[in-house]
Order: sequence, then C-alpha cells, then structure tokens
Amino acid sequence: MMNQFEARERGRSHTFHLTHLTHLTMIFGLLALVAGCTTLDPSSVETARDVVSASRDGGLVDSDSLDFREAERHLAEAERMLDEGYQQELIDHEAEMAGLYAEVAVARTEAIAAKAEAGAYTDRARTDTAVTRVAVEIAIQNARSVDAKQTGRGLVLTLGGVLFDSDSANLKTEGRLSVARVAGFLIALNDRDAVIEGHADSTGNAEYNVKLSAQRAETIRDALVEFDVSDDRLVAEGYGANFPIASNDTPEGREQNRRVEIVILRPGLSASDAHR
Amino acid sequence: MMKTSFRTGRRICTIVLLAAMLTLGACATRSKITASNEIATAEFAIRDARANGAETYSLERLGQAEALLEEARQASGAEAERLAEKALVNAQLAAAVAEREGAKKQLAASQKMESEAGALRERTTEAVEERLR
Repeated sequence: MMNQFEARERGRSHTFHLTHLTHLTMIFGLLALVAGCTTLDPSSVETARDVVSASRDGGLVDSDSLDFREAERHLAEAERMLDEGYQQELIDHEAEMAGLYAEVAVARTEAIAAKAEAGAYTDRARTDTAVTRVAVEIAIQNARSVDAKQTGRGLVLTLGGVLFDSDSANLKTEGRLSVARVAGFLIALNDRDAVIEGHADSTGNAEYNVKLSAQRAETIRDALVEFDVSDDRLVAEGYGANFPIASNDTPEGREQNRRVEIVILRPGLSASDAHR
Repeated sequence: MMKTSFRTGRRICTIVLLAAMLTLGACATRSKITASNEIATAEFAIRDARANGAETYSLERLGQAEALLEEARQASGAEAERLAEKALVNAQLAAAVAEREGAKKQLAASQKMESEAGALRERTTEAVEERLR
C-alpha cells in the first residue's frame, strides 16, 4: 500500500511531466510553424512575375486576350498563396501555370501577326498577278493600235482629233475606246505617273484655245479615272497651239495639231513636276 | 438516468460520425468529378493540338502534355486536378506553337509568291514598253 506522501509525490511528478510535455509540444509546434514560414521559396512566383510582365511590357501579347488574362489570374493566385503561407507545392503550381499561359499568349499573338503579314503578301501577289495579266493582254491586243513613242520624258501616247467634236470638250464614243486602251497601259505600268496634255490648232483666239485644250485634257483625265486609273497619278494641262507637230496652214496639219498626248513618265518622275 | 444519457450520447456520436462520413464522401466525389472534368478537357486539348500540327511543330511539348495527363489519371483528388490542369495548358501551348510555326511557314510561302509575282509583273511591263519603242 502506498502511503499518502508517496501518492502525493507521484501525483506531483505526473503533473510535472504533463506540463513539461505540453511545453515541449508547444515549442516544437512553434518551431515547425516558423520553419514552415521561412522555407517558403518565392523564386517561382518571381520568375512567373518576370515572364508575365516581360510579355506585357515588351508588347509581345494582346493583354486583353483570354490566355494572358489567365496568366495574370494564376500569378495573382500564386502571390496570394505566397502571402498567406500556403504549401510551396501549390504556390509553385500556380506560378508555373502563370508562366505557361503567358507563353501560350505570346505564341498565339505571334501566330496572329504572322498570319496577317502573310495575308498582306498574298494580297500584293494577287495585285501583281492581276497587273501582269492586264499587261499581257495589253501587249497582245493593243500594243500596235496606239500611236506611241519613247521620248526623254517617257512614253508618249497620242490620241488623235476624232476624240472630240469641233469646238467641244465632250468625249466621243470612239474617243472613249482610245482612252480605255491608254488606261490599260497605265494600269500595266502602275508605278508611273502621267501628264495629259491638251493641244489645239492655231485657228481662233489663242487664249480660248488654251482654255479648250485644258478642258479636253481634263475630260481625258476624268475618263481615265473612270477606267480605274488612280487620280493622284494624273495631271491635266492645256497648251493651246503652243506646241504644234504639223503645219497649221493645211487642214491635215491642223487635224494633227488638235490632239491629246498622254506622257507616261519615266520611273522617278512625278506628274506634279513634269510640266513642259 | 445514467443509462438514458449514455444512450443519447451514443446516438449523437453515431449521427456525427455518419454526417462526417457523408461529408467526406461528398467531398471525395466532388473532387473526383472535378478531376475527371479536367482530365476530359486536357484530353480534348491534346487531340486539338495534334489536329493542328503539334506533332510536326511542337512534339516535345505535346509529349509533356500526354505524360502529365497519364500522371493525372493515376493520381487522385487535388493532385489529379493540378496535373490535368498542367496537361491542359501544355497541350494549349503545343497547339499555339504549332499555329505560330504554321503561320510562319505560310508567311514564307506568301513572301516567295509575292516576290515571284512582282518579278513577273516587272518583266511583263518591261516587255510592253519594249514593244512600244
């Protein structure tokens, strides 16, 4: 039988052990908690942050794209988990997802850009092919039927006196056919500007002749524009009787002088500075 | 009196235990459903990537996606979800890389076509001029 003293001592010792154990458990618990907090590695989050901001700031992505928004969402989640002391594995997962989604966003943006560029090249190729087709057609059908000669300024195509009625700037039907042929040349030689020069014979008032020849040149320019020649490649001028190519003393000569010449300028010469 | 409160206590314990088991079961089922949804989505993304030429342009990334998907199938719960999610984004990356490489190839072809068409246009227009001289 245990006496009262022994029993009390044993009780005290037991209480002491229990208290000691509780303290130890608490200390180890705290140490584990502190150790847990200090061992969290932020490097995966930092890497993801760098990848995401480099993609955005470098203009490598459309920042409104779903993929990039997903990258930002995962990055925010990784940052939150890091702040709140989540498991390293979970933080790393979110950070890795952020990086991967940023890569997806970059690849998709590059794909879209490459497709757009390819589309532009294809369009240019189509235009070139269309021009080539027109040029071939012109070469086959019309090359011999237009009066053309090479000069210092460029290729000069002459449209004869049947274009207009006497004392009029209204284009005749036959005139429109000639203009259509010239339009074909201008479309084929699409890197060249052209000057449309109206000329008259010496009959009548000189000032009036300049005015009429200018109106006729403008009529031809308008007709060329109707046949899809770009307006900004063309300049119309009226010279009256100042540049005859034949004698004004005979009816035949005067008919030759009543003309419109279209000068397809040499490469590098622009219509705005190619006046006579 | 003692007997009654002992019985009540036992009953309460049983109810609490059952409720806990049901909750755990529900959680496990939900997790299983979420993981299987993620796995199905990843499977679809891998098929999509393959259909878009990932085998040609991004074989390594596609392989990674497939390996992660297999791991997700073997795993369970949240781990399975994470692996499936990673498989999904790897498959999306494989598809995006394939799309980009395909577009670059298309760009090179378009540049070549444009260059050839331009050269042909120049030769033809020169021939027209030559004929007019």
